[in-house]
Amino acid sequence: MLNRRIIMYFRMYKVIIIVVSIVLLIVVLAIIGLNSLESFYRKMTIATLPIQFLLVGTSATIFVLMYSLFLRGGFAKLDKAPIKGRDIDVKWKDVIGMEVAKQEAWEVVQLIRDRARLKAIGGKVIKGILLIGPPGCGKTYLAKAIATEARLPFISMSGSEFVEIFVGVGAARVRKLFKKARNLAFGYGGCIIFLDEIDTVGRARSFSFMGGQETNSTQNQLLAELDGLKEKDINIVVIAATNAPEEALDPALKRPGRLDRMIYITRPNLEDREKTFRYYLSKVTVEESLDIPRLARRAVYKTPADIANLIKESALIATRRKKAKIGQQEISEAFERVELGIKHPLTMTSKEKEMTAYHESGHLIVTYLLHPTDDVFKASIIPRRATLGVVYHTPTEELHTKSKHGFLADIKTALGGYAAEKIKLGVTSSGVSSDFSQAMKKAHVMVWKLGMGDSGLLGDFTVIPKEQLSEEMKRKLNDDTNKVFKKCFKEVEELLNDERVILDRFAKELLEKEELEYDEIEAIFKEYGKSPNKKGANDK
Amino acid sequence: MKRLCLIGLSFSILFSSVGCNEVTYPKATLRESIIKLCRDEYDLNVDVTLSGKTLALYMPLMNLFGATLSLSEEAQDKIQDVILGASRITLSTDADIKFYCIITQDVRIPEIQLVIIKYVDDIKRAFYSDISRGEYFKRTLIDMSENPQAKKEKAITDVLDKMELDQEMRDKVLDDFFRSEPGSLDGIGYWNGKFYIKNITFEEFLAEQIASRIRMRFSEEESLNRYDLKLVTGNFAVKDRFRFFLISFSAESLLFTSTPDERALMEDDIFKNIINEISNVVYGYKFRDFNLVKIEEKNYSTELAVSKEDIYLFKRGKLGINTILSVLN
Repeated sequence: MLNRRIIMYFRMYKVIIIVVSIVLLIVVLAIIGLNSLESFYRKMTIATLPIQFLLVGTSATIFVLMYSLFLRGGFAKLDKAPIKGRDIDVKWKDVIGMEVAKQEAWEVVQLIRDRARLKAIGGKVIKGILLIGPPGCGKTYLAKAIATEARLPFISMSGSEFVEIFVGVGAARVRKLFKKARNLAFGYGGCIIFLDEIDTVGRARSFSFMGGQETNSTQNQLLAELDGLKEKDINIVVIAATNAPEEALDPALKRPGRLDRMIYITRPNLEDREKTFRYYLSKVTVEESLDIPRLARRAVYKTPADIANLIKESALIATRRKKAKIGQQEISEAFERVELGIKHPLTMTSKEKEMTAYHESGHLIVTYLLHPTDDVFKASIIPRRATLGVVYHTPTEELHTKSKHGFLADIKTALGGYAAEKIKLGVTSSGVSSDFSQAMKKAHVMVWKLGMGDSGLLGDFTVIPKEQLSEEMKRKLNDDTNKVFKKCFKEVEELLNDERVILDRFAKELLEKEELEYDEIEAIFKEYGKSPNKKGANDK
Repeated sequence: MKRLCLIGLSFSILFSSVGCNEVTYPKATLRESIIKLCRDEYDLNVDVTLSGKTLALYMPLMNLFGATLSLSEEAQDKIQDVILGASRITLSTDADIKFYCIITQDVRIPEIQLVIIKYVDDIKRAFYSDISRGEYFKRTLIDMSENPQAKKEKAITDVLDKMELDQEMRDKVLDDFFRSEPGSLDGIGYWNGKFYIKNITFEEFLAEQIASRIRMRFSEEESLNRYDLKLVTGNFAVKDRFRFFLISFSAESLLFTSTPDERALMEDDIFKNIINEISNVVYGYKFRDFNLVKIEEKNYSTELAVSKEDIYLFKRGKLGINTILSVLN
């Protein structure tokens, strides 16, 4: 193995080794030459050395500057230092929040480790793994953990690093990358190449004459190298990751023998989120009373990176408050910061404040009483980003589809603000603009795309060009959309009229306190004997 | 960056240590080194002696002179070789050598000798291209003349013959009274296996160089040929706390001038050229340890004394030659 490593190092650094050897030889010859000179000439030569070094140094600097300015250090230059598996140090147990993906990845690790056994029984060694999932779910982390467990050198490169304006540069970089990996595999018995954001070079190739040639040639080279791995029987495993949809990638990349093993990494479920919270909270000092399951419930659709960011933010808030431990309040504020943005000081008139308070109370009551899936975590009339107030609600669990009731609940929630303003003040404000836009979009989708209109029109009418749809059909669809909208508004208006006392109460509370937390909201509703109607969006 | 500095430092130390090695020709073995160098590298047999800060080399040659009594080509090559050898040695030794002097004679007529005197700093400056090749040549003192010691011994031998002294007594008288170190550069030579050499001082080297350059100027420049300058000598003297150069000459042409005005014009021209040459020398060496330069024409006993300050002002173009010469007439 030592010989192989020496050969590997020579292969990898042969240019440097040759250059250094030549320089050393020249230095030795120069010293011998100087020593053979008479002392006067020797001193005279040495006396001129500094100025010669200076001149050569200046010339070299100018050359390097010009070279890097115009040639950017050589287009195909690949300055990727490999990292040894043991140096990555991402332990398997550190990968959390993706149990299913971990199980699949573990199989891959076993296959890489037991390569010889697999070959003995005639199995084919895995050459490519494709990690697909939304950003921040730990794809890179998982790849690093695979490298650590497999104890192989790891070269990481992003897809964008292959991209260059000049055709052929990306392909040259791919060749260099695989050449380096082959050398490392020769020396260490294997190598893992991690290609992040593979969609940059791996998206479906276009075969038009209008551009895309560089991406095509880079991807072609990648395909050729992946095939080469199979032919040359070198233990190189390519792990690619993307957050683009699977369909966006070129089918050639995913065919058997290339990146054929796909591992889907989804956002963590409740259990995984809880584990993720526990993991990150174990690295900071927290109050014992912290309700982690509640945090996990609140963090629906949050990725592990989001959760890590939340903890980081809450630690910063606790530090600013000179607190020794992170508490529920800090985490709650961190949620707000991440989700809603930082509070924005804005001077509002009392009339504006009242209108905002009623607007948000309308959203709050409708969400709490009518929304089948969402919990209200906070209501606020402190301006943030571009809003004057907000009702922060999230689903209590991950939902992968949405029923008609869910859509209607979303529309009702959006219209809650408008209805409240109208009931209380008789006039409405521009604050309803985004609510209407949101509600109208949903109603439109329900009718035009999902066949949820009352007139019984079925099908996705958005795929048909509008000029091909008859005026009658368009009128019917628009009528249905309007009906959905109006029906929702009527229900909301009735609800708020019925619960006018609660509406006034919440508005008063908001005007007094400006913000209401989950517990306070719950307490007020309980005071009036109200409980949320959570039967699940798909059951209703 | 740190690595780059380290490499730079290593190279500096490495090359400095190479530079700090011992000198090639140590003082203790200087004589042997020169003899060996000339023998091994130039196939020349030389004799060497050191007088104070002046190194002297004697090189006998078979054909120093050609048929017309001019230097033969073969001799010129050998003289070049020995000059090169002497330069190499004086530059690469720890001995404090300021001047070297090469004496060569034709073994057939040792009464005629060629003496070449060089100032070691001039060699260095020529290496550094601090002075031109032409200037370097002008700074070399070359004198081909009758061997002074031979001349002296020949004259005294006639006297000793008349006194009918035996050989032993003759040698004793000669050794005691006539075979001593010369008092001036004129006396430098080699006769009967003995060096007649002195520790050359910088001042007398400059004085002789001024004379040599005046001779050269008046013989080489066509417009000055007509003045027929003879007996040009340069000396450095100290008298009454005054340190001065004494430049003497006789301009034969002045003897044949028809009118005093014509003579005055000629004198002006001669003195102007001489002052030019003097200023070139003292300014070229930045020599300031003197008070004045005294120039005298012997035929008419015309004398001119120019102070050091005036010489420097003239060289810098801040004093006109006419102002200096105004005292002449």
